Amino acid sequence: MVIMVELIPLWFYLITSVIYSSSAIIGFLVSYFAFRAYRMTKNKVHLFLFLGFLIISLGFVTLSATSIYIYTTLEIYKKSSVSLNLLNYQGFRTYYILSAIGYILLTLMYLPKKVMNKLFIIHAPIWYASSFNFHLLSIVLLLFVIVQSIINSVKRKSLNAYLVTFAFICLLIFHSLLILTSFSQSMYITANIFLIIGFLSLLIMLIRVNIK
Amino acid sequence: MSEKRSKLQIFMDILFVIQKENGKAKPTHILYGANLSHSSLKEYLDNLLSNGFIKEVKDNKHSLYALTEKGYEFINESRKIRRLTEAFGIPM
Repeated sequence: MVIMVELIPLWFYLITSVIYSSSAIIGFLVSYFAFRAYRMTKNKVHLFLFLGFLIISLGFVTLSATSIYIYTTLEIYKKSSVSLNLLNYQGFRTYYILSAIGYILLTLMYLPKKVMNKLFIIHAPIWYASSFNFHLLSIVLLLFVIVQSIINSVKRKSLNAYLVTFAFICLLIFHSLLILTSFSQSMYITANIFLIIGFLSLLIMLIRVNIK
Repeated sequence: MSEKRSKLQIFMDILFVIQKENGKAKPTHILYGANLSHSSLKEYLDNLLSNGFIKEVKDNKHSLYALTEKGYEFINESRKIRRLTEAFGIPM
């Protein structure tokens, strides 16, 4: 999916850069704590949580860098070109690839060990498809993660579990709205609001985990 | 049906029992508190002793197991990890 530079208000590129950077920082924090868990337990599931959030966060770093570059070029140097559109497209494409890999790892986290290897083979051909398919893949994977997360929330009835479920739902809305960006720029703005709300929810969970 | 506890969970259960008893506990208290057999208790205690998480102390002729600084740190870290894994609904 191509998001045209002109479709998005220029001032919002600066805001999205902050949103993507904040999401990346929170994602790296989740990843760091998951790594600490893996270091102690050597449990493969914790490794998937660590790598999943690490790769998703790297995707947001790419988006943040793209946004700030586009903002700088358009606002400061007043240059608009086809290559800028291409850069925007490549930035998002890299993010889609990274987020799809990240969500696959999060999906593996919830699967029984026997199914894990088979699923990698099923997903492999989809990786070569278009950005739209990456998007769709992320949505399908997130739906699975959300179902598992809801089951956990109902079972545990803990605020931390609700916060994680809410964060994944926000990520799902973010991806769903991004598909509709071609029709309306407000979808892009709303999508990013959901993204930051989702990651703030994860941040609250992390704070509760560490100070409770 | 309850899931089988991992080695790490058993270590944590033992350390939690000792912490509950104000940092020092008799072997029998640990045995019942952590729900272990005599043979496995010795194996786990030896492991915790050799890794420096607990130490053996004498109190009125009784042999007690006390938490070390490293043991307390392990408890704090494992509590955080338990809360994180519970939030995501994944096993510890």
